[in-house]
Amino acid sequence: MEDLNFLYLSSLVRKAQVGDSDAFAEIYALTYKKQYNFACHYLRDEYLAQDVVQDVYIHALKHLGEIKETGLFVAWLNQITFHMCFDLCKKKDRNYGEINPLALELSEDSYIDHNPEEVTENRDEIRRVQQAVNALPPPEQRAIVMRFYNDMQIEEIAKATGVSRSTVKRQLLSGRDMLQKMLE
Amino acid sequence: MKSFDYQMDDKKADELLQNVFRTAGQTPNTVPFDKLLLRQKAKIGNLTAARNIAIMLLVLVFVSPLFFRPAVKDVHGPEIVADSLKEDVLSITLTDQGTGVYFDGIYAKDDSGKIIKPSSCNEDRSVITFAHPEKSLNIYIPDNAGNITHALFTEK
Repeated sequence: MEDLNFLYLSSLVRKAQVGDSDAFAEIYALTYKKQYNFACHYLRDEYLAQDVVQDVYIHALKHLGEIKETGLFVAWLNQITFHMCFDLCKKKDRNYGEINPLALELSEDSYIDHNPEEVTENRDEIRRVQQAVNALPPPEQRAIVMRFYNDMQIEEIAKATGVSRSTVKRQLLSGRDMLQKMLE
Repeated sequence: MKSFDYQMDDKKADELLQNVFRTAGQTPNTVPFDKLLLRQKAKIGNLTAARNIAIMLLVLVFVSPLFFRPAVKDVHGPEIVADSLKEDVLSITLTDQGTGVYFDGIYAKDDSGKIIKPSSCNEDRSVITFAHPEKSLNIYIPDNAGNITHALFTEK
């Protein structure tokens, strides 16, 4: 993905918005590998990841016309993939996402020792936290959800999102700070 | 090109794309998917080659001072550091800060114009000797850059 030429991609999005199927196919060819890699890491299932990738691009094709800033297409696509993965996990497990990340030690690996049920007693509180998590900027939101809702290690998040470990740590810390402020 | 942990094979990826067009009710792509991938690889290959060449040129620019020394022109002839006359043997010690003394080119002329070669030449110690004639002796000492030092030795 680092080799993506965003200006070129942006021009392809504009062509695809007026119904150019070849342009959309080229967009897909340029971006599907990253989306698939992310979905595989998140879902830990290559077949489910294929289904998600297909749904992501169906959604993207149907809603392509809504994009005003074509340069933000990749960020938009990343968010669709992330939300579809999250929703799929939620469908499989009703309690998925019902943890208060602030109750865990975000910056330490020791969070694994906590029993999530201990910190999910108050349903209203959980709903409030979920709303706050949803309000986070996409990078922080993804990092927090993948780390604490999806039990992914920092290394794994870094591989899934294509950033360094230190970037993931920074996103987790800033996500926690933002959550704290929102929930005060 | 960044490599990912999980990779879908091209055939499956194409299959998903066709499903996407079908489900969204759009006409499929006319350019085959494998050609799109090849085109991308070629583009990325060109970018990678251009990047590598740029890096090599940059490295060359930085390391070139290690290999090329600026040429300093040698315009000074050899110098005579010391001379002595013992038992009719004139001994001369030479030095040259530039390209070095060209010992094979050293000669002398006596009063009659006769050319005399050094009777001995110790390049390690930079010392040459002449059998001193009865009268004066013009000695010509060249260096490797073509500069010549002329010295006149007269009988004491």
